[in-house]
Amino acid sequence: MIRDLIEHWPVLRQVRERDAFGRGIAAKSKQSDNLEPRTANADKVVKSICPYCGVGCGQNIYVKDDQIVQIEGDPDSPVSRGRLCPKGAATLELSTGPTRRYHVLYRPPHATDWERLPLDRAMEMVADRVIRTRREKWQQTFKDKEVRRTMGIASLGGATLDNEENYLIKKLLTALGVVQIENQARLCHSATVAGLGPSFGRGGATTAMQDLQHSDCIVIEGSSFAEAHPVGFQWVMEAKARGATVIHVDPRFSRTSALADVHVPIRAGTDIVFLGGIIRYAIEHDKWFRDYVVNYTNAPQIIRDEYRDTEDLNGIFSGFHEKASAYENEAWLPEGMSQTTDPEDGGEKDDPEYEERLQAVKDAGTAETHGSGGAGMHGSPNTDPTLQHPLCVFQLLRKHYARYTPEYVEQICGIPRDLFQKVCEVVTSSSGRDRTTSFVYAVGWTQHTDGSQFIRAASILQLLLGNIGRPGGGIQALRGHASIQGSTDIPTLFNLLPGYLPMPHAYEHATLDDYIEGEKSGKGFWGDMRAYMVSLLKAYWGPAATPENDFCYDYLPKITGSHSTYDTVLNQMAGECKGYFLMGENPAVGSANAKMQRLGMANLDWLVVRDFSLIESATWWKDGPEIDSGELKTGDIATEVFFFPAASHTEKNGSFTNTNRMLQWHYESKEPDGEARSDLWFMYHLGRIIKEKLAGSTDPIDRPVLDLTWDYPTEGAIEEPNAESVLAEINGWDSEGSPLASYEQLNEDGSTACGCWIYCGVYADGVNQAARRKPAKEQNWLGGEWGWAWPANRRLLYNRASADPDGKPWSPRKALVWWDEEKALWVGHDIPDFTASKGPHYRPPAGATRGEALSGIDPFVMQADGKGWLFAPAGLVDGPLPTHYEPQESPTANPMYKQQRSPVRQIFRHEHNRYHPSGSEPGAEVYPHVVTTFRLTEHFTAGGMSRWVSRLSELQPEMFCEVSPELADECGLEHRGWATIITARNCIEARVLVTGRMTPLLIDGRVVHQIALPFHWGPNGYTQGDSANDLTSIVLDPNVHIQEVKALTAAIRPGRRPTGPARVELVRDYQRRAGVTAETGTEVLSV
Amino acid sequence: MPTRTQVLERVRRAHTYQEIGEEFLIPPGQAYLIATGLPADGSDVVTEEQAAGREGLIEGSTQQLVNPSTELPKHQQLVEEWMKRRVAADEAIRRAGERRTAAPPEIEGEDQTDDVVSVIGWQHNQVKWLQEQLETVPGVRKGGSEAKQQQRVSILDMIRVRLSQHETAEEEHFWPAVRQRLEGGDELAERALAQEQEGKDLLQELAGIPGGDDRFDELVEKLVAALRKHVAFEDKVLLRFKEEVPDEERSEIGRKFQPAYEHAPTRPHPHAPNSSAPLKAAAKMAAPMDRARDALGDRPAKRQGQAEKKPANQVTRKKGGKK
Repeated sequence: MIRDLIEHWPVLRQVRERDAFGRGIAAKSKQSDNLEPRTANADKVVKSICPYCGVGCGQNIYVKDDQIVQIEGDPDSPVSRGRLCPKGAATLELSTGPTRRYHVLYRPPHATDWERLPLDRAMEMVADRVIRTRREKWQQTFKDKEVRRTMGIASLGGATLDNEENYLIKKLLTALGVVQIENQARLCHSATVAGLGPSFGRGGATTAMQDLQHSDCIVIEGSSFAEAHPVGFQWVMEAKARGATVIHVDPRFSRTSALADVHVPIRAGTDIVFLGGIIRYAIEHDKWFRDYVVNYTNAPQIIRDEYRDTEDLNGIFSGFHEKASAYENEAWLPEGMSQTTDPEDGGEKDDPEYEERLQAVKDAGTAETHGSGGAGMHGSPNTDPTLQHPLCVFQLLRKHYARYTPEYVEQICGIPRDLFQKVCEVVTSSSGRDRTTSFVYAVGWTQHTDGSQFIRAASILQLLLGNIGRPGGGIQALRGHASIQGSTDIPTLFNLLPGYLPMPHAYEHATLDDYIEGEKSGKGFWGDMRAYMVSLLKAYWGPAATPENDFCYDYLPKITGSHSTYDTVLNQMAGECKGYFLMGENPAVGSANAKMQRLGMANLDWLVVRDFSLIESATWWKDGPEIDSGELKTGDIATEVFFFPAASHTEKNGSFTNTNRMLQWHYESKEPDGEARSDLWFMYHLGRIIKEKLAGSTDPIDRPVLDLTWDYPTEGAIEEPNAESVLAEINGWDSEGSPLASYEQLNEDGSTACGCWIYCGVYADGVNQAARRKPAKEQNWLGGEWGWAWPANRRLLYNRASADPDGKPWSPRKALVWWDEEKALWVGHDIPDFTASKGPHYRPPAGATRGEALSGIDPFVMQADGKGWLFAPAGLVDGPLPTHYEPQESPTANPMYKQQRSPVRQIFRHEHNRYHPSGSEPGAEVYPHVVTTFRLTEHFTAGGMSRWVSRLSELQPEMFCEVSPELADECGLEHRGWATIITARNCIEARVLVTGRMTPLLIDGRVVHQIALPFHWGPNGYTQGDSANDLTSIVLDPNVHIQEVKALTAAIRPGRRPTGPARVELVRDYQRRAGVTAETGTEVLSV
Repeated sequence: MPTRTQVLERVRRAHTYQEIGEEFLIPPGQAYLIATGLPADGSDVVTEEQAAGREGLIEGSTQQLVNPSTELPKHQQLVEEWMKRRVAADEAIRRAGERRTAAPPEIEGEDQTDDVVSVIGWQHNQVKWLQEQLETVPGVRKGGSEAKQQQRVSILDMIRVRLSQHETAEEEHFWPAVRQRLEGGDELAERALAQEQEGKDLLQELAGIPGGDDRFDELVEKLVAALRKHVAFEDKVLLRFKEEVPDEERSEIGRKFQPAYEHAPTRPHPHAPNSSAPLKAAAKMAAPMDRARDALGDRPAKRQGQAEKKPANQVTRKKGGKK
């Protein structure tokens, strides 16, 4: 006892334990001595990837006794360097928390509550319903054209699905003849593909987030980078620490603005005026990069003299057809070139079918097929390298943007002239031989009726300034979901097949030859499209796909226009679409006009919801807003609802593709508990059961299902399909069953199979390249041996442009890849995005096609002419040059052109989807304020992965609206009080946050207020609130069918919203006051 | 618990953090933390200034001090066997593979122009195409099977045929014109001919070496690099030639080029002269002999890049891949 006391005598301990000052071990208490981190005793550490935003942070999962005990950041990741944001840090609760469901639930028709159902029984039931609905709603032909499809079934997936899961969803549903296969990718970044694809040849971000550290100036616009992609934002801070100027252009002063050097408040939806203004500044002040522009862009190309600009036609381009509300782009083409897809083919212009054909082709979302291949064109353009010809692209560009003056920027965007001048100076002086500027955007640009053109405008500016393909340059399209890039690459989208191959169109692609001839380019790597397509058909249908039957091409269902998720909703309301799969998606909160989403679901025969918890899309039939308002009665709703609990990212193997186009493999830490299963498991076993049930069928519509290759090996007690096998099929193999190393090995004769040509190489050497994890500190900043990026593991796209025409870096400071004369190869810090052995002085011989047709100075290898497109003669349905139109709903008349709204925007006339009057139209004053939606760090999109997590709900506990003190004064809104926000669709309530972060803008001589709404809330989960998407309407970008939810108008008043039928009455009352009718806002041309 | 001085003293004596940890009975990550003031869990991202003067930092990842080291992805037997099964069940893919040759695609545009610059460009592209095929088929060094080795021998011979003919025609008609028409043309031609000679020597050296010989792969690698360099050099010359020599003249040369190509020897003759006049005579002598040998013998080029015997209708053994 005494000895014990003496031994614990601090002075003695200090001496004995070599802790002379008593600041170390001698001072440690018994309790803290016993403390141990949860990570210390883990049995294993499993490598994983965060399932939230598109940054793709590496995670270490600590597992003890088959239970996940802790999740931390992986310090070796070149993207995240060990960091996790609040959401990433909350993934432990996300995957192990008490709100997750582990049992299948079933709601019979008209029932008032759930009942339990065994998993295998539920699977059988779903398979039976698929088979039944498919037969009942089978369409062999549509308007006399063979389509072989069913419009009775649709699916909508979230963007946290693994690539392997998306692959199986698309493969199985396509074989079943389902065309309405959609994904969150439609709602988020489809406009990116249409904006970047036609400009550069590929629809993905041109750069990697880590490369931002080398920028001299970073313009963040249409994104709250720090808020929505916090861990990626560290690279902006790195750049800032190195002296870069950071500019944030946004309606709202956010966490991003707080860290920027300059915040530029802008009216939502006017970005083309702002960007056009900088384009004009660069041209007029001679700040553009001549050597880059002349050699690497289409500036010297001469456009046909029939072309008329918006300058000539007061806001529209030549070739407009009012009845079809579509353009015909023949006059936009360069002299000497023709295009492959031509809507005029097969019909004279006065043919009654012509308009229909024009419309059907316009609606088919072809712009999105330029995800990895530019628009199909043939021939060689006439050029004027002096850029003096009045019809050359450069002069047309100058003429088009001459109007975009600082005065207009001030009048339309609300940006003061001196601030705008400053931005122009910083951006242009930070670009050139020795300096580079990068642009970063997110859904603040994509979600508009002309969002594709916002991105086009940035593309034009970046080409003019010579910033594409160079370190510290480029355009980063920040993806907001773990694999939203993957969901477009291996698309679950109606208009695409894997690798951006277009979905066959009934009007144009009756046979494989029609399809190939109609879509491919003579030059560039898109010229090898037949090899890509045939290899895909071999992957789908294996032995059944032979040269004699065109590799089963006719097994593919055909599209006939837009079958986007919004068209699907209308189809549901019309009773055409009867079955619906929701896989990790919550449209009852997350899609525009959420009420219509719910009304559509109420009209289904069956609905399958796969998620962690009971999200709003699973429970609307008993507690949705329409039950409260009396618009729906539970007992009347005949929809059968199946709820299947999903496995989390920690419970399955698979790959996510992040915003750098980088695939990263996450490993399973443990098998999912109870009846929770991965979507891979669900699709595989659903397909297996359907195939078993159809076995022996002689019905020709069942052939594609029966012949489908569907033999993936399964593992473990739950028979989980082996995800790596699916990845191997995506990668492809040769006729000996050896994995392919590169898409250049794909053949058109059926001797190779490949499920997604742009991912070919991810399984090179028979090794999962996406699972590589060489620590960031042991390689260069691009991290080429961490994961695998498409195409061919190239990290910065178009990097040939980082060297001058002779192959030397433009400046030593900005060297990336260059031509090594000694080795006669392109070498450098990245894998060259160019044929490695093609010298800078190579010029194609006459008649050359495909890759050989590209010269040594054609860095944009997927384009038909190898050049970056300042002017897009093809590829977009709303014009060759970005032009300012007001949003569908705007407080002002378009000051720039007579044309108020985009003449080709996609509108939906429906009693639940009424639009507001705009500008000077009578009634516009009833909805006087601009509304924009945004995201918070602590929540995730429609809330399914955050409102059920206690920590995150605690951090952001309530729905709110941000308003300026001026608007609060004007409308009597009280800080922390309630406000009701009203549109012609619905009304919602929110807590009021009065803040100087919102700036009233002076627009066209009058003050315009903006209201900002986070869109994460719904009535379920730990934290509940109204959904911002109840306010938004369905009005879409015609290129890709993305909804305009970043700029609309609304009314606001103090106090809570009414409940019950009074809620509907309030909305109707405002409609009446504004004189809203079915026609409001639906005109094509402004009169 | 050791002090910083104690840990650093051991670091200076080249002890690893594992060893230091064992000595003091603390985790190695903790030893690192004591020495550097930085945790080894990834929060050790510091600026250069912060790192300056800090002792005990280690290059590369520190994560292995606190976590088990990361495993590299490996071959999965399950997946490999499954892929083989998929192909075994797919007769169409195997048939297509057997039919496949390495023959380059037909030249498009031959009817469009006689311009020698294009004619040479087409031929270069054909050889480049074969070169790429050669590089995709794994040789003995990369564990390529015997069939793959035979494919490589055949493709190499296809290159040999084309190069012999192409270079003879160039030597007869193109380089003389370069000497005549371009400033510094003599120098350009000399350099090109020296490069071509290098290629011929390598081809000669390769003749008779079986595909399974390690030297085969080594020489092929050298040859491919030499050809690449030569073509890139010629690209430069062609670009100037096109700019400086009038269309009509280029077409005239092009019209002579094609017949010369067709009648040229199909094997390299490295000791033959490569200047124009004696060359023509030599070529006239060598060419018929080459062709006679081609007709009699079974030269590998005739297989068009296929293996000697078509593989039996069974799945071939995995090409002992490693990595």
